[in-house]
Amino acid sequence: MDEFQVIVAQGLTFGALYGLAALGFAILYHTTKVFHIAYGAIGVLGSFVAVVIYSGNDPAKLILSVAAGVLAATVVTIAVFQGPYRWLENKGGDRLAIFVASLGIAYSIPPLLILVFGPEIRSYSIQGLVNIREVLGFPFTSLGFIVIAVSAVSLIGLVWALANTRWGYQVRALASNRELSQLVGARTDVTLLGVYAVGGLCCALSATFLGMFTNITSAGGTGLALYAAVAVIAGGLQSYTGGFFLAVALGFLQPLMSTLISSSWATVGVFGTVLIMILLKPAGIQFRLPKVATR
Amino acid sequence: MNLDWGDITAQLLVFFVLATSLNFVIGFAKTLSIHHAALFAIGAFTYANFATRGWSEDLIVAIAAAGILGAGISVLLALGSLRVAGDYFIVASFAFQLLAVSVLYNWTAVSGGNYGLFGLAAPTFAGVPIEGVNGFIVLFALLALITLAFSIWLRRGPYGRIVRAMGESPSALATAGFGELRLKTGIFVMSGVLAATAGAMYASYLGIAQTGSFGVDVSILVAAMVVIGGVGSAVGSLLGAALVVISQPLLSTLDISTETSAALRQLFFGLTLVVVVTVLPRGLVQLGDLGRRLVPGRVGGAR
Amino acid sequence: MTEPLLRTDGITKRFGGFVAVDHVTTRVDEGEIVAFIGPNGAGKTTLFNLMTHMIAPTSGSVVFQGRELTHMAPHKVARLGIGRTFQDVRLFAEMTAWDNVAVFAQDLKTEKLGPGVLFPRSVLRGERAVRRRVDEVLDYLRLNDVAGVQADRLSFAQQKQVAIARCVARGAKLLLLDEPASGLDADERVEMETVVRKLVEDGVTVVLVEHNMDVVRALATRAVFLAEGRVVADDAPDRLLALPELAEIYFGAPKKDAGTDATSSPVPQEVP
Repeated sequence: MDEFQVIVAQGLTFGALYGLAALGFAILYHTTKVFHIAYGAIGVLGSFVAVVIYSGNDPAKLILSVAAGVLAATVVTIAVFQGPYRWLENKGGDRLAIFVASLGIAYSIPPLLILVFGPEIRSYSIQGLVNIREVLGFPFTSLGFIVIAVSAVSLIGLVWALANTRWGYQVRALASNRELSQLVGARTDVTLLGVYAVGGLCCALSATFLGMFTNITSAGGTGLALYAAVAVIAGGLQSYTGGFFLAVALGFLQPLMSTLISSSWATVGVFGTVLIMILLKPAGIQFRLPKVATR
Repeated sequence: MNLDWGDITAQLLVFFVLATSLNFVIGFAKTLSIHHAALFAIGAFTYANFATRGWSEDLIVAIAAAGILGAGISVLLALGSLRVAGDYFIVASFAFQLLAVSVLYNWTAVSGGNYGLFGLAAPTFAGVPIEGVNGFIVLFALLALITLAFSIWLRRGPYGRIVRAMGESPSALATAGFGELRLKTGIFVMSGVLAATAGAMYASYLGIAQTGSFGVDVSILVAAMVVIGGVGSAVGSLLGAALVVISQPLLSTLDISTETSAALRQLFFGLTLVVVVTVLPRGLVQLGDLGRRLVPGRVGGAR
Repeated sequence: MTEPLLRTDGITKRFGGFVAVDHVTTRVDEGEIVAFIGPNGAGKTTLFNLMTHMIAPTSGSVVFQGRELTHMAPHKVARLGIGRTFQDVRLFAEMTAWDNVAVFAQDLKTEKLGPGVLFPRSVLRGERAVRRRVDEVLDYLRLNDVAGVQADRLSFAQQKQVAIARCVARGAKLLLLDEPASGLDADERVEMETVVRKLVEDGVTVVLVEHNMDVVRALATRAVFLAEGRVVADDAPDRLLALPELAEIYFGAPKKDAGTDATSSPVPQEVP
């Protein structure tokens, strides 16, 4: 097994994980235009709920715990979007204010988790999940297969739903022109609930999966938030697949850098590449619709 | 209550300068950066390296060097990300913050790795040795006053006028011949210089510099200082800094573990930030209508 | 023929499949007052935006005093001497009228931080010069009374005057006025016309977009009729407005005699 195969296997696994995270962030961002930086923290909240409920080795219980975590994350997402964000939008829609609120929420959740659940670092002790299963020499893990499968299904499912369902149509309408959709009387609140649910699902699942690979700490949401945000914002306006695949590319960065650079400096390589990518990526200019300044 | 008021005052002055640096960005440029902790760190480690390597213990030198570094980085970040949509800048800022911390942890020669740099010699200022808390307080008060005077001068003068105009209508300002990019870059440079200066002050006072104290959570805490105190207001930055600086010793008087008190503190500031930005957009300053404003600014609010 | 102050050469702007401005070639000579008229959606404001390079053309060019504006940022275009007003005015809302004009009166070098810090005396000198200039401009436009009023508390007509004052303060040679008469009552319109004539007398060239035909007839030396992004006619206003085809495009029906009404509705009511 050579380095290339490690890179590919780990890249695909984490790429799929970040891609899943990016999908949730994307639908929230495109529809509401909110830079929901609390996304990662809410995901970690979900993963905390899951790991605290789960104990033992029962796969059925695992699924239920994860479901509980997803539910918790969705509820919090809804509360946050319908609460402080909605309030601020009604007061005049200053995006900076909403971002600051999101920052405050992202800052509040980790200490809350420590106070409620205690400061111990948790992990799943699931036998078999992180065992290496080689496929054609590529060192995947069982968990990796699950992540890739869930992520792929989510991508296909979301894109299909956006293109073929009434809900998807309304989501796209909201994304392109919110005021118009609301004027036309589309049942935006119902549509939005679905959006929030997808967001909650994606952040909780990706955070939970991440926790299964490493361990679960209250501050673990930062990286996820960064990758999801970078992938979506740099991945192109209105594009879900663009964001998803950019996130996948980001997933390859860590294993790639670990091979190229000695272990601890690899993280520097990752963040450095991300930063350079953001600063040089022309997508922000390319995909920007020709708009006359309206202020 | 048995609090170390000298220590609190000295730290307050440092954080006032740091908060002011972010206040420029939020109040003038109407955007947020979350890499101020990184700039703070750069200033701190500049002093730390000057001191440990025996290059100089003079704070003026360290501040100058830190300022240049801070300015340079800010220019690059600004030019690279301000050309494009607003959220790009925040994302770049976020990435830079994480990158900077990662670099510092690894670059042990400069940062002392996980342990940090200790036992930094006390600074001199223009040849005068600074001794004891009171010495620092006098020095920092001087630096804080210079910062304050600078921001008032800026605000009252022509530069402040066009920056305010930029906040109201960048397209109209363009018809006056002033481009947004150049103005915003200038604001970021000033902000970078101030944040790095605060870092040098901090390291010189504490005598230590540890990478762990400069994470993204500190960036958010600085944002909380500025917003809770009141964006665009010098008094606001002072209030916000005071709140943050006093919270830790206050909590330590309670009979709880350090982890719990740290968690409580963070929770308090996170929630307060959310509450303030939603219901008290002009910050605490709004309550008493105290103080002059740097810029008539606030986070949020209808146009 | 002398070099025009401003000319456009086949300028075109496409937004996706929609052609807002279609190969418009036109010119403005010094001292003229040119009015762009036409139904809504004919591309007039887009043309303005192209002339000030707030948006980039899909093809074609804009040339001002012999210089091509194609790759110039809007603030640089402004520095060449082109001023404009906006339909939605865009004053700096929370600043006083005085400050609004001051922004346009202060030296372009004030955007540089260095001199501001290093040479405080020249900053103070500069501010004295700004004070003189702003007072002078406000006096010229008879806005002294409202100098200290916050911009968003001024009446709409006053706001529009301050917008013009700003351009005057900047010393614009070419002034693009976007619907200067809209939202004004009859007296205010007359006041505005006086101001425009005064400016032209003092050497400013004016281009305006207008729906109000009375204003066009009163002010313009030349009118250019745009429809669907194309120039349909270009002539002195009286001759242009007498063309029957234009009445049809504009009003969509045989001419009506409706007196002089100053509303800025999409379909103007008055008739030549």
